[in-house]
Amino acid sequence: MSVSVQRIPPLAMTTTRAVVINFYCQTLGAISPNVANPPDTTQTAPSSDFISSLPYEVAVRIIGCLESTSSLAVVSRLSRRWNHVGADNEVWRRLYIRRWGCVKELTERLTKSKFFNPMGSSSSLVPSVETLHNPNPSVFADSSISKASVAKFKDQLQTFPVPVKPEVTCWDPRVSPESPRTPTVSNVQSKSLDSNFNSGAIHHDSFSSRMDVSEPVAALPQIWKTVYRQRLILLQNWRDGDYTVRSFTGHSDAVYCIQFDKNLLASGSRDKTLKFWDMNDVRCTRILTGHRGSVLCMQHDAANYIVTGSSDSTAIVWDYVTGRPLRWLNGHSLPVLDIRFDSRRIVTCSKDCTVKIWELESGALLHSMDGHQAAVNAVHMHGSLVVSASGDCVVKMWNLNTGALVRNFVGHTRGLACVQFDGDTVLSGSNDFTIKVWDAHTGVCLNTLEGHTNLVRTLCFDEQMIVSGSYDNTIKVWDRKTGALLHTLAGVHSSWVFHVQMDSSRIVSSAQDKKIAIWEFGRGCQLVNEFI
Amino acid sequence: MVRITSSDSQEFSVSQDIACQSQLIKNMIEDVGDADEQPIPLPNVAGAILQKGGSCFPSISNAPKLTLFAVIEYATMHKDDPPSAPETDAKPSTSEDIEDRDKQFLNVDQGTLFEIILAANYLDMKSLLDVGCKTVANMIKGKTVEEVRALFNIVNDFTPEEEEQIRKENEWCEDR
Repeated sequence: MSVSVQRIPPLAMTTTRAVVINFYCQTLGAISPNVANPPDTTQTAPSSDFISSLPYEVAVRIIGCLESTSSLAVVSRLSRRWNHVGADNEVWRRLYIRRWGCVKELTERLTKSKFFNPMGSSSSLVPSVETLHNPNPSVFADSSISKASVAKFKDQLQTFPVPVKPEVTCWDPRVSPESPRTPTVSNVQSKSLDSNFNSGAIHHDSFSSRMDVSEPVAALPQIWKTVYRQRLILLQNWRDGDYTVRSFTGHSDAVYCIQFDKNLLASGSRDKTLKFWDMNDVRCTRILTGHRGSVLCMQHDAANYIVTGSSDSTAIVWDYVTGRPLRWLNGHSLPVLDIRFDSRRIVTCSKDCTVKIWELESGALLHSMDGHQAAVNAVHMHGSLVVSASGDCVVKMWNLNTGALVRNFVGHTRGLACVQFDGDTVLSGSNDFTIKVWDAHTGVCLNTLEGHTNLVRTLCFDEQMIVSGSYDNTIKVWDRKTGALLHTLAGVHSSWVFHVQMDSSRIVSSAQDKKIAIWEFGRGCQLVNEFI
Repeated sequence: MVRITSSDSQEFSVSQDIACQSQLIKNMIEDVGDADEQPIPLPNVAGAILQKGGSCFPSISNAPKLTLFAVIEYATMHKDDPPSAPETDAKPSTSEDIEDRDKQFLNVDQGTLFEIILAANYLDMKSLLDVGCKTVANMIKGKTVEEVRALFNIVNDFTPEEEEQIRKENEWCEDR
């Protein structure tokens, strides 16, 4: 049974209505023939093709509301005009943002990328689509570089002008994962892809400005359909478990912590050193010493500071540039197990059961939180919140400004080893062998990922994937949305995995076996460097 | 009050806050000052395109109404809306989030829907244009090529070879 509520129109509406009705009554006579035969409102095919006669910018706006590539595939097959509209740059850019989020930095990298250097202009629709989208992306590398082993490293196809041919050392893990790896050295040529990717000439600034989009985009030609496709290739590699792995031994003892970016890898070890490595050739670029115990945890901002925590119960703030210790943070009575910092504050946690907040610039102790009942093994911060994971089986969320407890995340049955937090979601890994996914705002457990057969020591995640490392010596890749186990990366680490980190195309892991492994998923993706 | 005239010389009088939901009219008023003396001509908006059904006015439901009439009706319905936040790169809107009253408002025949979209485009009424485009996009979603062609009476001007080529080129778009 339904109750209908009659709403009284506001005054302005009544006025307008009176005016319009008045108008309507006055003019009805002139248009009465049509009134006598009102058009059929059922959704039968109209006598004319309205949609194709819309202005281009309106057509693009409509197609820009579609949310799936399969809908766009349908649009492209309707007619020549709709094929044209369906390949529009802004349509694909919006689709990309919907799926992978902000593209500001990516756009900057793409603008600089040689990959999309425009080659003349063609307004003819079909040819430009043909050239824009190579039906078989793997053809590029295979056709010009014959060695299959080299083809696996297509991500090395530099999309920038590279004066010197990079030297690539590669191991194929799946050939013989247990045998000592013989490096095969191959020269991978820098390759211009311009000729394969023509740019569409059509440019629609009006649409861009109406959509309130940021400006740099207007400088790019019709690239986003290609960018989207390349990103799908990368995603599919993750889903298929299509990777290559390099591993190296650079420390004389277990490697507890790592951090990497496009060019640089940093690692902290039980050998008391912190080392920096070139990501491409794993050449050691510098070694920092200062701790009297193991380097258990580390973070750097690639500009000003490095902060490390050690089993010597101290944390050291280093000058990133000079590599000299600036100050020691003394305050924990037992090993410093994890550290995080942002532009203002450092958070440390310790075996002494406390979490401490320090001022980055001065090293002054701001807060010490002692709510945990056992060693605090991991912390992660986001905005003004920090989460901590402890051997007492509980994740606690704290306010960084006040040191006050915000909430507990209770559900694990054994101690916790790791925690991650992105503002909305908290992930925790436990000695109950599971990973739990929590709603950060409510403390409700959303999912429990089961599959590891020992303590889950380390975690990281992005929009698509969750990656975990365990004392079962494996790394597992999980689907972020469903929590399904996608792959188990085994056969490289022969002991406990201590740390995993990821970016859009790689996982880097470190373990008790002294090894650091770089797992690359960029095969066949020509924009892998831009997606990082 | 602002006076506006449609392409067929019909004059409407609407309050300024309603009229100014059209960026075009707003700009005109700002350019020419007090608009009360001279009606604003809108030569691109046909007054006499007929539309049936879906009216918010029970007394005249099932009666024809005009494009400009419909646009004014929409503007009136939304006159108290907070100014729409500029679309950011972080979160493009999706075609799912159409208000029920807008769904009802745009539950009209195709010809009228496209007239409204064209009028919104011309009048620069972003929210109406958005909701109109989303409505059309929703009509496309989940349909096959043949179904969409039939729905909008689109003529397939590809040669069979071209069509096959386009299909192949976009195969990667399926089921992702």
